[in-house]
Amino acid sequence: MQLSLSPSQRRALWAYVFLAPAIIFFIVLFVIPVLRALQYSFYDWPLGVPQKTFIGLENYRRLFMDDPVFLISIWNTIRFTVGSLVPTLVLALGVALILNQGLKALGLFRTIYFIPVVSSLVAVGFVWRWLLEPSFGIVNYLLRLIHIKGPGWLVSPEWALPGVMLMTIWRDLGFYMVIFLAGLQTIPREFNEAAMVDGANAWQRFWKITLPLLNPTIVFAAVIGVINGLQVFTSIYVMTGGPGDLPGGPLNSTRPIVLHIVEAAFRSQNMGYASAAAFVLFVMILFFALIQIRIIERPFEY
Amino acid sequence: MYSRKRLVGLLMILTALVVLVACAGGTAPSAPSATTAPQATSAPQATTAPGATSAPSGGAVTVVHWQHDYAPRKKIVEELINDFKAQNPNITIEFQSIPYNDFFQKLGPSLEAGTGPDVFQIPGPLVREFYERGQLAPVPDSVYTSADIEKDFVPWTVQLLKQDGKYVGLPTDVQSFMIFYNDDLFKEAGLDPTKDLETYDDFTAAAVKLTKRDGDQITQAGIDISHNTYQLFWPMISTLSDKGIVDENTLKVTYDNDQGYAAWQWLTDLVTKHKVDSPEFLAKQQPFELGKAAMDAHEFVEAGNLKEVAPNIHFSVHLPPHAPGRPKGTGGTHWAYVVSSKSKNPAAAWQWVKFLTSDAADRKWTAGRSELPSRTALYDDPQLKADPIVAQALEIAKVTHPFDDFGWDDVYNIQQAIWDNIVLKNQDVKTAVHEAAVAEEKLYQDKKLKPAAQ
Repeated sequence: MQLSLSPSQRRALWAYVFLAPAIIFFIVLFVIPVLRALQYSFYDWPLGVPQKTFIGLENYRRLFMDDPVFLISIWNTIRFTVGSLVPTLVLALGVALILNQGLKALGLFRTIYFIPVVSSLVAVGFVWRWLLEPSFGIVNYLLRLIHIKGPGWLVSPEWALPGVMLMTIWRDLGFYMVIFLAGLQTIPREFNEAAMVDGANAWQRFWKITLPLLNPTIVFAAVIGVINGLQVFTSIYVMTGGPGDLPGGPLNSTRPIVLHIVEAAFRSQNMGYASAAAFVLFVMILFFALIQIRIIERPFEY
Repeated sequence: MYSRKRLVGLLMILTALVVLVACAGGTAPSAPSATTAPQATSAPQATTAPGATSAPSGGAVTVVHWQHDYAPRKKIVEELINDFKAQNPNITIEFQSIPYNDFFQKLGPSLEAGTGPDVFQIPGPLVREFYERGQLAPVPDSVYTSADIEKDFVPWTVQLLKQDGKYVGLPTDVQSFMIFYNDDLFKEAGLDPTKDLETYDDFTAAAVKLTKRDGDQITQAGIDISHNTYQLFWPMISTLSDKGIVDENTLKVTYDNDQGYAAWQWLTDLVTKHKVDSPEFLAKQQPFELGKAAMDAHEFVEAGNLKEVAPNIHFSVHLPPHAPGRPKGTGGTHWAYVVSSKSKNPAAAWQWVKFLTSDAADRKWTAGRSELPSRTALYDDPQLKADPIVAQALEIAKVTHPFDDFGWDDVYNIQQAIWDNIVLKNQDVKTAVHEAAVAEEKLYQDKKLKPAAQ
C-alpha cells in the first residue's frame, strides 16, 4: 500500500524525521528521568535497600515541616539569586550602554569583560577564596587602605553568601553585557536621532526609547539569570568547601537547594527525599519564570 | 486530515516504542535489585555464595575495585595489582580511582543498579549503615576466620567491622589524630618540642606562648584550629568515654554531659578566650604548612604531606591532651575494604582484599608515611621504626580509640556546628552541644539503624 501524502504533509514528515534524533534524546535523557524522579518523590526510596515503600506526599511534608535546613537553603537560594542577579543586570546594562557609544576599542573591552565568563568556575572560585581571605586577602587590604575593617567573608555566617555573590557578579557581568550589547545594537538609530531632534536629553532617551525597546532582551536575561541563580551549586561548592571544609557553611549560611538535593541523594542515599526536593526546585523555577514573563514582558510596537 | 492523523499516530507509536525500549533496562520499583554481573569476563565462582570457602581456580576472573582518588594510595594500589597478578594470573583487577567528590555519587546508584564494583572502600563508621542495607558480604572463613582477624589486626582498626558476630571488611587507611609541632617555633618560644602537652591547661599555656600578634592581628597562631577543626574535636570526643562517642546499645551520644561540655569549653576557649587562633587568620589556607602556626592537629597522613609541600619545616608528632580523669589517648579513623553482596566473584574479591591488607602491603602503605599499619606484627618492626616520625606515630597509634560514630560527613556537619555556633555565634556551650547531640541521635533514627542491644 502506498502512502499518498500532499507536499505539505511530506514536508512535515521530513521535518519530524530530522527532528527525531533530538526528540528521542530529549525523551530518553530528560522526560523519562524527570518522570522517574517524580515517581521516586512519592516513595521512601533508599539506595541499596530492595524495599521501596509508597508514602504519598510524606517526603514533601518532611521537607517543609521537619527539615529547617531545607527552608534555610530555599531562603539562601532566593537571596543569592536576587542579590547577585539584580546588581549584575544593572552593571551589565551600564557597561553595555558605555560600550555602545561607538568606542574604537569595543572589541577589546568586550573581550576583557567576557574573559571571566569563559574561565573555569573552579579555578575562579579558588582565586576568589584568596582574594576574600580576611587577614591577608586583597579585598580586605584595599578596604583597610580606606580605613574600613573588612568582614570575615567566607568564614562569617553573615558575609559568606555576599562573598559568593561578589564573585558571581564579577563573573557573569560579561555574559549579560554581551546580551545587552546585542540588544542595543538592534534598536534602530533613527529613533534616538528623531528624539534628539525633538529635544530629548540622554536621560529621557534612555527611559523613553532604549529601555522599552530593550525589554525583550531584559526579560530574556532576567529569566536566564533566575534559572541559573536558583540552580547555583558549583561556585558555592568550590568557595565554601575544600579539604576538611563541608560546602554550604559556615552554619548552612551558604547552603543552596541543589546542595541539599545532592546530599540527600548521595550522602543520605535517600533518592525519594532528594527527588521531592528537586521537584520543589522545579516548581520554584517554573513559578518565577512565569511571573517574570507575565510582569516584565510588555508588548510594544515600533 | 486523515493522513495527517495517521502520521501523528504513527509518530506517537514510534515515540512510545522508544520509551518502552528505554525503559526495558530499568528496574521495577519493587525489584530494583535485578542485576547484571559486574563486568566479569568469565565467572567460575559465579554461583559461589558470599562467604564461600574455596579460593578461585580455573578460568579467568575480573574483580572490579573502586576507591576514592588520592595519588599516593593510587600508586600503591597499582603496584599491589602487579604483585597480585604475578601470584594470581587468573584474577584480573580492574581498578578505578574516583575523585572523592564523585565517589559516593557513583557508588550508591551503581550498587543499587547491580553494576557496582566487587571491592570498594568505605569509611569505618559507615560500615554498619552499608551492612544494615544488606550491601556487604562477610569475610569468608577461607580468607580469614574471626579469630585470625582479631589476632592479626590491631583491635581498634577492626572494631567497627564486626557486625552480628561476623567481620564484613578489613581495615585500610588507618589514621590516628596527632598534634604536629613546628619544632623550630617551639624552641624559639623556649618550649621543649620533645614533650607531649598532656593536660588541657598545659596545652593552652603552650598555645598562648606560641601565638604572635601585631596589634590585634595574629601573625602566628599557637595552633591551627580554625581550619579542619574536626581534627582536634574528633580525638577529643573519641576519648571522653569508655563507650566511645555513641553507645552502640542505645545509639545515644556520650558527649552530652558535664564532661562533654567541659571539653568543648576548653576547645572553644582556645579561640574565644585565649585567642591562639582566629577563624579569620589565613582562612581556608594551611597556616602550619606556611610556617604560620606552631601546632596543628592532623591525621598521620600529614607527615607524608609535609615532606612534599613543606620540606623545610622541622616537625614532630605528639599525643593530644587528655581530659581530666581520662587516660592518655587519641582518636583515629580508618576505612574498610569491603566486598559487595552482589559480587559474582566474592572468593576472588576477598582474596584480593586479603592481599591488600597483608603484612607486605601494610608495610608499603606505612613506609610512605601515608598511613599507619593495621596489622599488629608491624607495630614493633625495626625497619619501620627507623623513621623517627613513624616511630613516634606508632606509639600514638597504640593508644588510639576509633572514631566510632555511625556516619561520616553527616555527623561531621552536625558536630562542626557545635564549634561554629560557639565561636561564630557566641552560643552557650551547653546549648550548642545539646542541640548537636539531639541532631546526631535523630540522624541515626533517620538512618533506621538498629541498636546493637536489639
